[in-house]
Amino acid sequence: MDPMESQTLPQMEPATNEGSSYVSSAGSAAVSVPAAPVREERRRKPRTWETPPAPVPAPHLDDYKSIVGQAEIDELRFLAQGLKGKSLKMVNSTAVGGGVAEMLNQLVPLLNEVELQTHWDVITGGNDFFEVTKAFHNALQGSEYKLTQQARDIFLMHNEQNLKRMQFTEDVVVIHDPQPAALIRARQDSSSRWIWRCHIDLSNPNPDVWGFLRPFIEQYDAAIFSSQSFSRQLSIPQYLFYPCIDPLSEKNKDLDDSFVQQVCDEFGVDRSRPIVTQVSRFDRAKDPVGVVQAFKQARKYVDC
Amino acid sequence: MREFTSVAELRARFIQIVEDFLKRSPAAATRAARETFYFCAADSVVIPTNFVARTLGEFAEGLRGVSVHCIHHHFIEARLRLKLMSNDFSQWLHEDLGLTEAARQLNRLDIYTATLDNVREQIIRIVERALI
Repeated sequence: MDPMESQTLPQMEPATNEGSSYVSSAGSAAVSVPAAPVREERRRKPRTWETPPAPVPAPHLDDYKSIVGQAEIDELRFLAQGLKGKSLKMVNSTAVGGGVAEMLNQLVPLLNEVELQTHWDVITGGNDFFEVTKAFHNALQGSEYKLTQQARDIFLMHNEQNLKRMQFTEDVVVIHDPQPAALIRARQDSSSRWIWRCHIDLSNPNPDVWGFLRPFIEQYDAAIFSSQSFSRQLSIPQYLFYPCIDPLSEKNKDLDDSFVQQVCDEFGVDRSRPIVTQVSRFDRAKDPVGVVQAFKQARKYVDC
Repeated sequence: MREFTSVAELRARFIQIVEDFLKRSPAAATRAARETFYFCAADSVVIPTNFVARTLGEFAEGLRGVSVHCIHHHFIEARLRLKLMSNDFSQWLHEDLGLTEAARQLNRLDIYTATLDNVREQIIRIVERALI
């Protein structure tokens, strides 16, 4: 999941389109290779929706019962009892588009359902801020980047503006990803807990950018990473929340079979064989080469 | 792992295996790994469920309803907690219902070549046979 997605495509349609458009997007990596003429056809006629589908209401906890079972739902409700009445604020950089926004759109209503009062705030910033944070994002995931004083100033100025605009009265504040990381400066006392939730791979960060951000990160009470290999040595406790799939999100729901058939027919995809598909922005961070390698591995054993 | 009833014993055995191997192949000590191994700490949270069993029938019902985490807690992790070559289910069947044979059958289930859901199914089959 990549929180920067909407920054790359600031004019994009609502996130609800993202999942269903993959079958025709030139950027997605459907590995079943169509013949050359079909590929040309795809470029000439990109599939678009004139009217985006209406966003689907967020699910309730009980909607997951048929998937995970009643016992899992009961356990979640029981665990939540100990936190009843506590307040929580989530802060990220986008309201729609990108993995974090997708996740929070589903998660915040569920947290409120179990009576954990959860608020979600989105930071604001001009194009200069989003350019800088996009560059930070790529640099933290290993791209070359020269950190300038101007970039530092832009990052800090927009964090400062957001800090003045927002209030932090909740028991727990969770700041998602690097863009709002400097909001930690709003912390007034030690009664609240501040957590930095990192959704990106910090295994090989640009040292200048990481060196700039690290002093902010180490002011938090704890950090959460998605994998051991994505984390850094830090002076604060670190926790792991492994990536998971929300079966009720737009991206993961079943598509109408007639629609699937129509798209496969259009691109000459043989549905009688298993299909290896990547659903994501076409970006090095999404590791499309890894998908092709996985396909090659699988192809040795399965006719896909 | 089945023969171990404490983590300390298990750790000692791991160390012994690695050290024995290093004695035989000293060069292996400095071989660079393709991927780093990260040691993680973990804490368990044990919580009650809505299921209780006073009879074998209720026990079978509970087994069908609980999550696989519950099966793991009572059937797999219990060996280390009880420090016995047994598990919570077998102990209860044996001590509180006098179903020693069913308890023994349960304890012989192979937990390493099955998923937790498979294990649950096998436990239920044994309990259902005991119900007849």
